[in-house]
Amino acid sequence: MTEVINNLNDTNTPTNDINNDKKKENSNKKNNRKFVINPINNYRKEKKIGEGTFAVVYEGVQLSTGRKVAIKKIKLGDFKDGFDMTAIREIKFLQELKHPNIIELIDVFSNKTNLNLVLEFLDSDLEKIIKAKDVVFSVADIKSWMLMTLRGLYHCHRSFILHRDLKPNNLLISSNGQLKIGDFGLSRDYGEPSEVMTSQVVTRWYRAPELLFGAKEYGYSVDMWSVGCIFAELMLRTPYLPGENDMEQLDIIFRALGTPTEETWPGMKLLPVPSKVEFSIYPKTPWRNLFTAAGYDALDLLEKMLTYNPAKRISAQDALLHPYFRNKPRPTNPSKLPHCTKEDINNSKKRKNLDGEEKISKRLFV
Amino acid sequence: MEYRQNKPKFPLGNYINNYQPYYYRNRNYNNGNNNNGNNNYFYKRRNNNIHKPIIRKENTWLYTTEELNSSTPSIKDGYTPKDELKQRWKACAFIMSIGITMKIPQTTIATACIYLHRFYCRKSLKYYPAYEIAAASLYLASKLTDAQRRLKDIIIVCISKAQKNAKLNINEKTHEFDKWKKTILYHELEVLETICCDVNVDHPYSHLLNMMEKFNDSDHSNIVKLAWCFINDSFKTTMCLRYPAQIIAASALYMACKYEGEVLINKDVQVAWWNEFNINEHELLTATKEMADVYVRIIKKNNLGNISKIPLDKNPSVAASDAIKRKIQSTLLSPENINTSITSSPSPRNL
Repeated sequence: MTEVINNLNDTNTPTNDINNDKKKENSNKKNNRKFVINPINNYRKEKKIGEGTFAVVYEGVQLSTGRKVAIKKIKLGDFKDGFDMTAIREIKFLQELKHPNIIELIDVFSNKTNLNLVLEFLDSDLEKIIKAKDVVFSVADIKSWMLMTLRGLYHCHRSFILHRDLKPNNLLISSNGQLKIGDFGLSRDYGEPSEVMTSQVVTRWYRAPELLFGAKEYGYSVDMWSVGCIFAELMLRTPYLPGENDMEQLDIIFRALGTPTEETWPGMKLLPVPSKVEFSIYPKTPWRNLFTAAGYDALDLLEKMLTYNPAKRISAQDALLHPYFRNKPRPTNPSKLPHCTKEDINNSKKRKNLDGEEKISKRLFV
Repeated sequence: MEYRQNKPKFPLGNYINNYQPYYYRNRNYNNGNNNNGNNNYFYKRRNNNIHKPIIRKENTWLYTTEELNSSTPSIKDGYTPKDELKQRWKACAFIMSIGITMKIPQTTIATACIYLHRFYCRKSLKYYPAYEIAAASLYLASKLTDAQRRLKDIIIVCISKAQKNAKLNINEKTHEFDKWKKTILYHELEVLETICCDVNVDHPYSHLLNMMEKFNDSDHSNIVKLAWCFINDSFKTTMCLRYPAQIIAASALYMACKYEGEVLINKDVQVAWWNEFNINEHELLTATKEMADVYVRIIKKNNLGNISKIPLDKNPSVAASDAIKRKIQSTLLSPENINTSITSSPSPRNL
């Protein structure tokens, strides 16, 4: 009884200016019209999954279809600047992006003073799978995940959108194995020339060197660096470049990939940080000993993704056309990819705690 | 700089070329398919019992003139169509004056105007005063188009503009400041809900730049500037509710060509430029006439003699508004002239 049918109003509007042909179409449509249930009554919140500073996430059900959904309730309250920017960005970009490898925004509804985003329900993410040490995955599995990431990212880039927060934690995985890019809270439209953007974006471990150098103008290459870091992390199963602060991060990058020079990266000295700071010079660490299982083509792609010069770094489109994805072994079918069960997550959590304790004890001794 | 290499020349224009814009993809503007009424999700709220919202052409946000003159919520509440238009005009002028003093980009201002026009198709002026919605939609638009300004700054400019006192000394602790802050924060969500979170807007500016790419062979910067100003002024009227963005861009371009007396010809193609972009000639001419009507009305109101006093200073580009004034002074824009020149059937080679 509480279901309110909104669409009925539609039939009352006049159709003066529509041609005869269109009238016929309309009459057909009226017969096939789907009635829309009032969304406030269409969703049921079941249990709390997580909570952040600006939002609470619930698991829920779409009553009209029985589909499992995630409901993100945006807290509105005493914020100084009114409506939260990240939520507003998420609405803006997810409405525009529809792709199998990008999280789907199903609906938005409001409830008194709250705004609720209804998102696809995705139970695990890539970080969980990487950390679950019981899960074994092959070269073909890595290829499959990389392919899905790049497809989703290419769709963002061809729609002129920068993601700016790619990390394994934001690459969500659905129950049938499809990888989906999520969390568009830091994204923005890209394209207006000479537009100044902030360089304080992307989680530090996945932040591109030009951002660490304080560049205010950058492009799609920022996302590609993050993808490169994720690629290396998938092969190593630990974060490839984990720095604790910005300067240490640069140091770690230079130790791993060699210090960039004016020859390898023309125009580097013009950026804010390198113009003031002298960096110590390291040679490049050979990758062969580090990535033992990786093939030649995989290392070639990784090197192109982790190129210092942003103008020469590979684009998402070119990366998709790279021979790595055409060579054998073929990427695994998403439905056959290793999946992270709840037990695995629990185990890894225990292990995480143990690791933490070990670290603390080590620090105490040193 | 290295970072500029990847940037497209006319990014928004390319967006339209390579990729079907959001507007057409989801609204199915041309083929009129029913989109499961996805956009209906918001309008059950406060005034649900009083007004039924108008839904047109499967939620394209496009309405006919009759609808806007007879069945908007404000008119049902006793406003005359003229009153409503006046309120909309005032609110948009308010947005533009704030935007210009705060140096907010033109696309953001236009977005705010579109939000405001759409808002009043579903809510009444009686319950939602125009200036408050104008401030809220500008704040919302500034957030959504990455041109965010601090709320404090916007409020200060709002108060000084609303009281028409530029030198007003405004303190954060005054009652006035607090009141504006509360209204903006309250109406922000109200606007977002009423426009169905449909925040991605198709702008005429991008269409204009996209069209001008076809005429690269000679310098048309004066035409573009003038057309840009005509588009700015069109947002004060309800044109953005009645014509798709492409038509508005085309009619602005048409009018600019008329004023400058220039001819746009693409040498490769032997058709009029609007045929190249698949624009309906009839729709183009009616839109152009309407766009010109604004200026005609201003001239009539101020008596043709006092042309120099016409308030056309609301355009951001000073050079272009000067150009308009200059052309008006040379009486190209006298009512008779406009009507005859535009309604006569355009020959493909001469325009």
